Amino acid sequence: MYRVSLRLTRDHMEAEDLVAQASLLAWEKFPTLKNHQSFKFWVLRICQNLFITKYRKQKREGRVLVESELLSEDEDFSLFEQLSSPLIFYSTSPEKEFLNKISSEQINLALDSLPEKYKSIVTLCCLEDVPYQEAAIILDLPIGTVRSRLHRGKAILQKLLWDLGKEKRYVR
Amino acid sequence: MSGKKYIIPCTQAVKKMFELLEGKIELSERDKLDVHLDTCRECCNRLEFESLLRKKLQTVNQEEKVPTSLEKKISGLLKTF
Repeated sequence: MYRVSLRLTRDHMEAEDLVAQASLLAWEKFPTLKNHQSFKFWVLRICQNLFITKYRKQKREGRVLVESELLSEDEDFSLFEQLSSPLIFYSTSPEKEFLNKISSEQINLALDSLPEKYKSIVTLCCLEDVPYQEAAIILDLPIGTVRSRLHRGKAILQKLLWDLGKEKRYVR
Repeated sequence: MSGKKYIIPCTQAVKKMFELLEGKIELSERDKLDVHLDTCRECCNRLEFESLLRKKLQTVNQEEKVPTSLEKKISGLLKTF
């Protein structure tokens, strides 16, 4: 829950507050939980709802890119396809070399730069391995929307990593 | 039915490899992907890359530890009940 909160808020103190509030609410509401096996997803949903109601309206500073700037031409962007293009690297394995070079800080920057509606889905489905069905319940979205946003979110994330790699001249 | 195996195109194989990585592929679809991968080196490379990228993203994500101040904050709040 802390990792998800940190991704949403991008701030350690705000993430702590969010988790504390969600824990408190979960403690209060626990007797209403019918299926205890779904506890993890239930708590994540509380956390997500709290974030939406209390934090979303806050203005955020930092590098928030507009979606249309990221994928104006190709919403099926593939980092692999870019790296497989001839003359990108001298290496015989450009894809692996790129992944070795890209740092944790750059990955965090790319994840944090995702537009909010994609960040929640990528965080849940890619980073926390939450099933689509559960992600749909947590985010209160139809499962088809979860699938399409996840597809687009992953493409945006790969484009962000590609741009960061180009900035650092990992690719030509 | 003939015993000949149907080979799906790369575009379909890419969709199925994401299902595979997310642990959401059905057995029959996994067979189709395997048949494709047997004959397509490009898709094999892509599957390996997407798998490595996914692991790298998850590793970075796992690096965040819960601060001790948060544990204290929650236990303090729960004691008020």
